Amino acid sequence: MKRDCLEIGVIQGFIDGELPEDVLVSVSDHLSACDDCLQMVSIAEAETLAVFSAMERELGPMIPTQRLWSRINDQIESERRGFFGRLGHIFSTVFMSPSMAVAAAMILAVTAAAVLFLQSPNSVEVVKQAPAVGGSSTDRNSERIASEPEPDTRYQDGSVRKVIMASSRRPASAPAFEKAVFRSGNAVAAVKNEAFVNGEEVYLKTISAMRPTVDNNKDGVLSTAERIAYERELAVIEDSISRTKKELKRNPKSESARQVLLASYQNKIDLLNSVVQREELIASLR
Amino acid sequence: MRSAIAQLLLPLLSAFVASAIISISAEAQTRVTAEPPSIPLPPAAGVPSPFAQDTFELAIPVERNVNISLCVKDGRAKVNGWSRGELRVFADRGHKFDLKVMQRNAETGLASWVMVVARPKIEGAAVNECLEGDDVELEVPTGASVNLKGSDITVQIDGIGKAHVRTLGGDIIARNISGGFTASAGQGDIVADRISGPMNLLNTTGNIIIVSSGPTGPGDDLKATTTSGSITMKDTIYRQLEASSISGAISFVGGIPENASYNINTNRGSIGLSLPSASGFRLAATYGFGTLNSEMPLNVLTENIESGPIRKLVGDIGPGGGATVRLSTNSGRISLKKM
Repeated sequence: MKRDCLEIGVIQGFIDGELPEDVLVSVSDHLSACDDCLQMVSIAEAETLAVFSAMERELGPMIPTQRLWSRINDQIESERRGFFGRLGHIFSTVFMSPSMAVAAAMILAVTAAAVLFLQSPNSVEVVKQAPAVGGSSTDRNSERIASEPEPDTRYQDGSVRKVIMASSRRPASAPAFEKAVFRSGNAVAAVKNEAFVNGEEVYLKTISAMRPTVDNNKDGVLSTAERIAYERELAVIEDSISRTKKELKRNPKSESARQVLLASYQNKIDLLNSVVQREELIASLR
Repeated sequence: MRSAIAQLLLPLLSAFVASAIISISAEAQTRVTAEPPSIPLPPAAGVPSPFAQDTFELAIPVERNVNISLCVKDGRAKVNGWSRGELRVFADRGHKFDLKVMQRNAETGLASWVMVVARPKIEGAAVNECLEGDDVELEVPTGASVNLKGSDITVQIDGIGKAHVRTLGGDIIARNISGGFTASAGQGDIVADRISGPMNLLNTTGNIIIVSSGPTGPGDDLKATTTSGSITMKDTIYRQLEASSISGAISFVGGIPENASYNINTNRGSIGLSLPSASGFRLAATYGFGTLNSEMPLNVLTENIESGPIRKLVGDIGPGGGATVRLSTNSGRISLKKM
């Protein structure tokens, strides 16, 4: 033992992460040299864990078990399958009849013609207005943009990105142009999606690739206490992301907000990765 | 005409209704007959115990830089370095085990890679790598490299060459490791004291404490990541350091070497640096919804003048210098204090 041992209140504060910074440093310093206190920390942590385990039943309803999740998912799946199955059955039944099939084909043809008719003026509007934005053709715009890699906002769809980036270079006097762009073709999808901050897309792709695995397995690999901690940390990150995104919406050129946003995404990836690694370790222990 | 359409539609409608009824009833039947997932049963009683009644011990001569792998399911694992060229494994009320030599030095014939494996519970059954029991102790040569994994164990390692530890729960305490240390723990703290070489520590809900550690070569770095615990670094002299936490505080106490590159970030926690008064480095601090306080002389080079809560500041602390320290917190305070 290095010197007088720590009080249990201080140890509990250390475990709960509630110590002030200067106390934390001195406690850490003490712990690094005092085996007895480390032992007390271990015991206190084990007790905390035991309390959480004892409360598992009470906490249980907050966090559905794996079996409950799978039952819920099965139910949703069967409902979905049931609905689409019935829908498919109706369609197959209807189209088995030649007269009905002809009538449906006619309705489809009329609808398609109407859509084409309604869309064509907007497309023309886009093509006509795009050159006016940068004072050059659309192709020249895209060349110029490729050589000037500094946009603040990006969109999933390439063509829209070019037009929007071009529009960002024009004086803020043509909102009608953006409306026209958004009404046409794929741009509608881009409107539904939020603008990507430079570099954000890569993080989002990584997260969306990891998320299904983590969501499917987290109940199996995390204990109740860990699951609570996981959800809490995830909520902290989500809150941080949403606050930063709001800030970026307000001020799209804020480089500092962009950095904070990307750091939050990295933290989210680290958090998801910790679950994946845990799952791997559990598998190897089996 | 109407009757013809009616004749055409009626069978279709009745067929649709009938198939819908059949499909719904089939689904209902599936729901009724669906069995809950089976839960594996515990092993039957009467299986011969693989556990030693008291203690169990094995020893073999090994290379000085032997690589040792083992898995301890629960209890306490202790690894100590000694000056002998011998590996000794001791289990107190633990699992009986074997020392499986995976590789030998062609010249000396000594074991250079050894796996500690539990004996099968039933003769002829598949080998389960993991030991179970109260205490497992290893005496290994000081240059040995130990690869340890476990479920819920307290790990203590002292005076060896290299260590790689992965646990689901329990503390990991490592001291006097000369060639690098990597550890990942689910719950529990990680303590790294007097470690030389690269270090990579990952914790989920516990704290990380690093004391009196540094690199052995130019490329050795320190990476510490925890989700909800705090990270404390004292007298660490790495040139490359990366520390990140989601909701924990990060504190650094000590000097920053010349030309160092430090990257410290937390989502919701404070960052505190206590530095010698003569410190000199370039600071790049990004803090959203928080504050920056510096007791050190700070010469601001650039500061964003955007409206909004997220701020970025670049400046020189003291006389500046080749080292760069990047601090980033979303909603916490950054403080730089004199030691």
